Amino acid sequence: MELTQFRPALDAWLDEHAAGLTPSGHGLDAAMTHLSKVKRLAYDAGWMRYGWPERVGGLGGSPLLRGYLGEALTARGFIEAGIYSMVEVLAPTMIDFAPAELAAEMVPRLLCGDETWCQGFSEPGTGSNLAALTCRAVATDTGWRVNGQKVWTSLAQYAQRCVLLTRTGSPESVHSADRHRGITALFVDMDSPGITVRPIETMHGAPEFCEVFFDDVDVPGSRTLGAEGQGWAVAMDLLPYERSTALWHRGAFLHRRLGDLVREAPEGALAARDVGNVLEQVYAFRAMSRRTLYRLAAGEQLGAETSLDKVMLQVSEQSLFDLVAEGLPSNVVFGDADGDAEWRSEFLYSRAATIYGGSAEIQRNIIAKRLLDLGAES
Amino acid sequence: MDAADLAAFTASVRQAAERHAADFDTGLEAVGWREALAEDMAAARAVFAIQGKLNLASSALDDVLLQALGQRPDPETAVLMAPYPIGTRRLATASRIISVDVDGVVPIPRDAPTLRQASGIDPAGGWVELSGSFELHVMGGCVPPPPRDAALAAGRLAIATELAAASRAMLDLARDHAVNRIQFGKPIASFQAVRHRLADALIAVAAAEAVVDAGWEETTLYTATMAKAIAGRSSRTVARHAQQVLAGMGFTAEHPYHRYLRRVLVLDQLLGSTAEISEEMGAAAIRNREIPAMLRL
Repeated sequence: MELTQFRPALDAWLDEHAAGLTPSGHGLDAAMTHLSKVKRLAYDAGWMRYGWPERVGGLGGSPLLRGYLGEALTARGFIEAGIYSMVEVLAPTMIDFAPAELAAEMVPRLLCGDETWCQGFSEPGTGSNLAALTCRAVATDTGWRVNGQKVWTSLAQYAQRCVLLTRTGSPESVHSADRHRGITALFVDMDSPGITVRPIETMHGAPEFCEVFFDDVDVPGSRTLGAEGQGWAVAMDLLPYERSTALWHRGAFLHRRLGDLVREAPEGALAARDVGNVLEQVYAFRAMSRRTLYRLAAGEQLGAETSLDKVMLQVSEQSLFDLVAEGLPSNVVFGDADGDAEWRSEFLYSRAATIYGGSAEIQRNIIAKRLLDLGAES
Repeated sequence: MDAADLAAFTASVRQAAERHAADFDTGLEAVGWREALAEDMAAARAVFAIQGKLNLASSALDDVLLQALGQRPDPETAVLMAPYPIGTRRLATASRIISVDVDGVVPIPRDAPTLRQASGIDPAGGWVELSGSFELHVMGGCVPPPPRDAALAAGRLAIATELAAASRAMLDLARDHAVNRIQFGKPIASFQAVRHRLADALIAVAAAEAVVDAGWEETTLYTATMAKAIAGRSSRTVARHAQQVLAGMGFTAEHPYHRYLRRVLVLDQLLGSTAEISEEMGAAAIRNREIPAMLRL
């Protein structure tokens, strides 16, 4: 199906089913339950299967269809883009690296809302320096035995599976220049004995990040994603998706909230020029993201240039919510109604926009080295 | 024009730009710019990108405005878009001046306005200001209402294209300086403080290029206006970082940097500045209690 047919047909379906798709309740538990429901409805109606290959239960078509689905759901307030877009990040990894049968079995469960997956990358000792991870997997007769800790693992408390990066090279390889080589990616059942999940209380009030502990967790060899030692490639493969469809959805979220802001702000609370500035930033971010999505759809290899999109998201998200704090102080600062909690939580979450998924500084390092070709840093 | 024609036209403009750097209007004349424009507005994209990159000045903007108004581009006709009083060099010499306001296309009597050579910060640009008692927005009803929005869109997009190219050129100057300039025994490009400045400049350039692309893909008053505002702001950001990285070299008259700075400051003022557009866009959003739809997939 082409986007030109997909768009009006999806719009009509969303209008028709708006009542069932509109979230009720507050908090992360309610949001997760609702997300599963939306995915299930959209999957059964076929929408959630477009843009994914047939061998994993998809209906084929361009990733633009996935881009539009997430955008349309976000624009109508039916989903939270952040938790929805995990699909965009993790399903492609499985499709590209899992054994064919495993991908065919698992991906539909993620798409249809039956399952949530998480991404076990960051560790206490490896924030920006991801390649120095130490969570260890040792070969056994049947596969791997995992010991170590992950942190900032989104939605781990809800997840049935985890895409986990482990060190299978020697522990000393962490300190070597080619530390990227000793990493292997595994697909782990979260109900495996030895896994402990501890949600982290954060300043924005939703415990969406977790610590995950692995104590002698056995993982079958058939759950290896890619070859042994190919884990860095798995991690890097995920970036183009995280930076294309998922960012496009995030742009739809910023657009919606900017609209909400000008609707809800009391008379005189917003300065016209400030609103104009934020409008332009969000527009510029979306123009960049849109271009990237079309490049993905055309089969181009996305690389370091997606760091530019990521920085634009960081900048526009923070300026939007800075404006929210200025324009809706009685909601963000003092308010206690449900809507106020949402604005406040989003404002606080936006403070992390320059930290997660590659910090503002790391992005600029990448841009300087890979896009501007400035040579080595001293 | 198909892609091959456009590529050939672009190549000839590039050659003409080198041959006639001091008088780009003559160069454009030589490559049949007005004929190309009449055939396809995309010709303007090539011309303004080259003009921005090489810091050239011309009166090509008048041709773009005429074309968008449905009139024949003509070197003897200068155009002013009310209420903006600054025109290109053509204003000083053209035998016919027209003003475009909300009511229509209004001929301006050649002797009515006072024209002033607006040398200002960018003497090389040849800009001219219409001043005196003549008001740009008064007359009307002379001809059927013109597609003023279309002209404003075309003009803003052309200037945004030039701004984005000029921004890219400033970044290139700074980048080359940074990798060649040695201090403390190393290229200054190896220092993170310098690298992050240049990265920020590239982010601004990329944003400007993306919105300019979006404007050309679907030209409306909205997409062109956003492109102009964003490219204008980006050019200031890039200029600031480039100036700092170029340091003393960039402060000399000998180094080309200052000519770009001068030009982008002027371009930002034409047909609505970034500040004015932001103010208007924001005021409209507050008044309507909604923001415009943005860039469909």
